[in-house]
Amino acid sequence: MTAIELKKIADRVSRAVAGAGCDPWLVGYDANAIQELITASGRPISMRGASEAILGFDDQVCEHELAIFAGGGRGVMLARSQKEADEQARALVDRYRAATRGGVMASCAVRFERGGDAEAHSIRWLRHRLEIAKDAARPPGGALPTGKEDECAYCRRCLATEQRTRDGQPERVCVQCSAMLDRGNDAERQRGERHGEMSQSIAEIATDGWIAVVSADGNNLGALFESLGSLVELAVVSKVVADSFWIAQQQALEPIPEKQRLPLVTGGDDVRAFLPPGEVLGYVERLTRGVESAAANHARAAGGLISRQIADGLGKLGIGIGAVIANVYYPAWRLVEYAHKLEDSAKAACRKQGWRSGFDFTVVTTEDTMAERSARALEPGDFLPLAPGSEPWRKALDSARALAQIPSAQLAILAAAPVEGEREGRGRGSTPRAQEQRIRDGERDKLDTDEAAPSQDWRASDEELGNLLRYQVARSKEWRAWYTACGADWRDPADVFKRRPTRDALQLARLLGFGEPSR
Amino acid sequence: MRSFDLTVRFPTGSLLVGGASATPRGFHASHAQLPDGRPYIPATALRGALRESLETLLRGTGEHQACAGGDGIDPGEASIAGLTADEEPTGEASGEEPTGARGGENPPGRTAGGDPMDPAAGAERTCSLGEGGAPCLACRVFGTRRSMIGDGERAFSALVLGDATPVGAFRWAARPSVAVARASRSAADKQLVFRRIPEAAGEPLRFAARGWVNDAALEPYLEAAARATTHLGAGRSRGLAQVEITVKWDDKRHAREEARPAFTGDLRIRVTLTSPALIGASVVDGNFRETRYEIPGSAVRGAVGFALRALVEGADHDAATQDLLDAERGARFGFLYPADAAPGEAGDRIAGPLPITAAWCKTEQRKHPVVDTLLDRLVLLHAGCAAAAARAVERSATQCRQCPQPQPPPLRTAHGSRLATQPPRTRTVVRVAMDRTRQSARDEQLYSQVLLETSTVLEGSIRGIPAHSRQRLVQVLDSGILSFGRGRSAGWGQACIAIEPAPALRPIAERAAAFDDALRARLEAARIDTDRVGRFVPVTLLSPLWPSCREEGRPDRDDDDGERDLRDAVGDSSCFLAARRFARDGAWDQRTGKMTTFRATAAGGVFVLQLAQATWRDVLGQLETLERDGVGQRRDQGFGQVLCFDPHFLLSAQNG
Repeated sequence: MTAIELKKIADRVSRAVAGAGCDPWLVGYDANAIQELITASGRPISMRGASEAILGFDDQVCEHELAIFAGGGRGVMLARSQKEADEQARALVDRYRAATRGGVMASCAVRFERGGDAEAHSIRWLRHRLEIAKDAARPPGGALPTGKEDECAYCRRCLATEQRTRDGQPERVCVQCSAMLDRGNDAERQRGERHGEMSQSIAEIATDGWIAVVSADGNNLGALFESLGSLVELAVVSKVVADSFWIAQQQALEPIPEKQRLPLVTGGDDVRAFLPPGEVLGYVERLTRGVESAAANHARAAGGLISRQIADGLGKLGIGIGAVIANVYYPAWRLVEYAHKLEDSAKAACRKQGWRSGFDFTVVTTEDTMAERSARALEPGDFLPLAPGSEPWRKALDSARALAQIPSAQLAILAAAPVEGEREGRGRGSTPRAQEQRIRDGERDKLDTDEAAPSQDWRASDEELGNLLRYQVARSKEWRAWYTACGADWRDPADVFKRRPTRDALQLARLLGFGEPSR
Repeated sequence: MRSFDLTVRFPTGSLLVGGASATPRGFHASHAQLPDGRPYIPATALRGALRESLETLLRGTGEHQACAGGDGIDPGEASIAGLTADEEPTGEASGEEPTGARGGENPPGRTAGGDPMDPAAGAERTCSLGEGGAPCLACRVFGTRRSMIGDGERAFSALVLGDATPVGAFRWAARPSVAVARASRSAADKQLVFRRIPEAAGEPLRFAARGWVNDAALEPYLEAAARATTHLGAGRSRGLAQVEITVKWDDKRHAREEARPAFTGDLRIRVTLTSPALIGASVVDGNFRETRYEIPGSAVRGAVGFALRALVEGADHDAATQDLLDAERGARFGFLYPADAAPGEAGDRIAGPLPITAAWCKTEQRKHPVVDTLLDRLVLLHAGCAAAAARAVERSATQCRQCPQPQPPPLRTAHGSRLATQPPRTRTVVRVAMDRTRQSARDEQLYSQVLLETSTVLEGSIRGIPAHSRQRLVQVLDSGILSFGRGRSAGWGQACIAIEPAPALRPIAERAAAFDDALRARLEAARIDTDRVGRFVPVTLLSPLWPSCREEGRPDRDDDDGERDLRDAVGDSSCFLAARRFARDGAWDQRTGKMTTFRATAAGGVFVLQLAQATWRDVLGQLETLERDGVGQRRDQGFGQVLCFDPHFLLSAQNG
């Protein structure tokens, strides 16, 4: 995005303000539950269709002569009177509902005042009113099923009314999923083709049944937008942010074969993608680098149009990234939701550590619980989240590469070590005193047999575990290489125990191992 | 109903039941493990082994037919009919509608249409291999595949059996095994497998489980199944799984010794799960099933009803039972929400989710105090110009005040229970439906299920209890057989229940006056007119609301969020602010097999009504009725419970 292009945006906004007349109003809109809408069906084509529907809606808004910006299901425009503003607000909600077959959008309007701080206050007023409007929006459209047999085969939330065929088998889907499928097929279709090239299911882009879901967005953008002083700044900053993330996303995706990736097009600073697990770390590095450099370049280009403080903030824009690697049979919406939680964890780390960008991830096996990051017990030595491209990132990757060389069967001894949850649970209610207390508390007729087991300490002691490790390390060059990569002395018995692989290290090694021959 | 203790002993080795807990890195399989690190035997595995033995025994007598795992087909007959398990088509593939074999309407061994076996029945098939078209004995003891229970039946399965936990000393061990390539007379490439199993330390490995049988006629069959069971779990060829199971009956377990003190009025119940629970969610993806974090009133009512049927002879004609459960005249079973194990400090102890206006630090969430944004929203909605809006925003809770400056993180909508400082712990188990005739997993029958963990505490109330039904209610709450949610026969959802009289909240007038004071102060600080103060009535949904007049499929009424019901309840008024979300909700009636679904306004929603002429003082009577009776449909199942002038709205002043 060049300075000339940004100047054009500023000129367009100035023309819109002039064209809004003497009683101008600001109209804002924001789509509710946009990720749920996109991932509802769990099918790549349908998800692509939903993304296209939102993009199409935004494009339509942008064509309006008084539009300030539109992208990612959000936007601001001007109106010439309160009446016109109210009509526009209602029309936006209805049009979005029609375009997405039942999607929910919030909109509202406030008077646009100018002079002194009034313009900044008006923009802020609209932002906060829009937050209130989101909670007052209409319920989602679509009839509900009366029983399991009437549920949409994809989203399982709405009444199935449309008959379709997939791989020669009939299936019944809801109006929304059907429309998004059609839209997705259209988006990918080349001239003369019946359907596009996109994968039929997420399983097709998985590696041995594993898929990675990435969720990311910009750091501290709320504060940045809260400090905007004019509509020109609002339009320029919105465009710069959207472009920075779009460019970075394209750069990050480029080395991954087209059929093995599924980026969800949402616009703004939101990034979501389904990838093969083996591609995650490279993607994260490229995405981070792309956002940081694009934002810095664009901020320089926008220098004359926005305040210095805003330009500084924009130039230092970073990104929080979360990724979950799991079996493909998990519902797509659930994985996206969990990846979003990990993204929050990464963003929290950025704030605490002063990082520009951060990354957190987890590998979810079939029996793991997708709990919030904060609920995961952190062990000493755990290092996630990480700042991509930093020195700790490189060190963690180096040691994970060395760890990945150790045959997995030799890592089994680490299971003998207690984990945090076990320490908590150990002895719960099993001491005589605790039992007495529970009887007093009226828990006399307990039906489970938890108390049947006497208190016992069956885990390997630290000494025993240390011995096992030292024996293993002494006869394995891969173990020795790992300790060396971590900067630990494998000859030092204390170090061998103290610097043993943590859960985070094992997870990172596992992530590196996807797509490579098993050991 | 008769209780028993089940002892599971492994005289010569150990066992391996996978899928019930995470497999540590480096292992290829791991035996089921509790969150505290102890091994256990999932009730589903125990039941599967016992059932398999009983089916074999029954078929061996030559006098009984027994289906395989509740599929309604006797394997012997299936092979005679030329229908092998490998060829068994599904209903979908054959394009036929599931037919027949429901509720014993067909002759034994036959399904609708007169075919020896109707494969189209698929998963919905109900066994009718027993006497007079009833389910076979194995299905009566262990349950069968059906969506409703028959007339006069007390449960889907006569046997309720919980997980077995270890007795005595044990240790975890790694058991390696390697496949040998006979051709090369060496170990096969990449076939070294590590299994993590519990091992006895001294005495043979022993586990104990508890359960009960609610039909005396079926007790001998449980004993027979236990004696006949010789293997449990995987790894038979490797010396694992050999087992001895004994049943010891206990007639005293559920007899309570001392009587509860008499009580009147509403009840507060505090439920502590003694086994994991899966509370059915309304939207379920194919093979991934998550639990709700709260127990709906319908599930509480259902649990009470089922337990009473087991406890009370002729419960269907017992007035105290029937009146307790009557939809109109009966008790109102509230939703139960997670609570901390140690109840918090004194004050208004309200069971319910945080209101949608609650907010917390984006970074630290529960570690920093929760604030409420309703007053901020009300002040902003009063603003008539950008300057007034700026003054309103200036005093709003938008950033965490506990985090260090200069850039504290923003606030985000908080969620979860008011009474819990952490979300409940969950456990994910993977279950597979076994085809016992083939000794392998059924196609596409692998499920992940997320369960509420043992020791989770939930709290709620039962209101409007008919006087003559109180004793029945106390009897069932004390019985020890009450269980919530799915998997009752596998011992899931069992709980200890503490009861006490429900404490009264501060009077509405007191809460309203405090609210007015706070709102007035905020408006004055923003130099905004305070004329409307006194005419606002904020109403919080403590449970989901199903509006009275919504009819699914009627577009003109689809947008009703319950506002109309609330306005009708308080008198001439309009809605000044609505902050609510929507959720698909519903209930499954196990006696009719029918599911009801509807779009509810989610619990935690907030409506601020503005009275047209009056002040809240003029409508105190209506507000008290509204709080007592609730609003909307299904109030007997806890829907539509509301709170006027929620004290939570004043939290910002305390925590800001």
